[in-house]
Amino acid sequence: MRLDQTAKTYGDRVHFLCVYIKEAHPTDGSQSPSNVDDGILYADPTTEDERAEVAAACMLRYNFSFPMVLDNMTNEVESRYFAMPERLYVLDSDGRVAWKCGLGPYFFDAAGFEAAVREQAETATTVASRSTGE
Amino acid sequence: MAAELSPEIVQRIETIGDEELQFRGWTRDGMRESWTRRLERDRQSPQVGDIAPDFTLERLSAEGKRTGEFMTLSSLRGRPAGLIFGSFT
Repeated sequence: MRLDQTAKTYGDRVHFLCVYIKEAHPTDGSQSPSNVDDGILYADPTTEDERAEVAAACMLRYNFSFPMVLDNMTNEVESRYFAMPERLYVLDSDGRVAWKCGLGPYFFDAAGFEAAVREQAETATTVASRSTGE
Repeated sequence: MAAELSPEIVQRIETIGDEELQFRGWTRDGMRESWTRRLERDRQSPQVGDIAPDFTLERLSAEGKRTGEFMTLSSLRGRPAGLIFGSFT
């Protein structure tokens, strides 16, 4: 998976974090035909334990190398980043937004993410080299 | 002012098969309205140059178990960060 490859390539210079958010297509909500075909069938979690179970299934299926945190049940973080159903952000070393993709699914952009991560990794490396005089 | 749908979104909506629309219980008009609303709301999302909204959330273990340990986004400063938001479904 491209995101995981990006994380593996730049993980020595860039932090990666997956925020597991509200289900986009639960069986009791906006079910998608592709999930039915793939057997990805989960009802919308109502507790943190339930959300953790689905997140774990996701993590294990895709074998992500980056850490995962759970959004809370008020979906606070999702709502602050307008992240549904999926979204990517790249932050600079000061915690400012350096890049973001548009709304998913149409504007989910793993290639743009990789390019933005690469740019930040190179910038961070240059700044670090200057500060150490290397 | 209402957000205007880009030709790309209009095209994507046009090319969804009737069978999928029927499965989802959607209509093309409904999708166009939904995307217009989403794009309007998205104007409030963090913009390039903004400090990313901070959060503290529970971390899962590598095996996907709850850990009771919390991670704060701002503690990652000092290095760039790639944030991946999503769900299994």
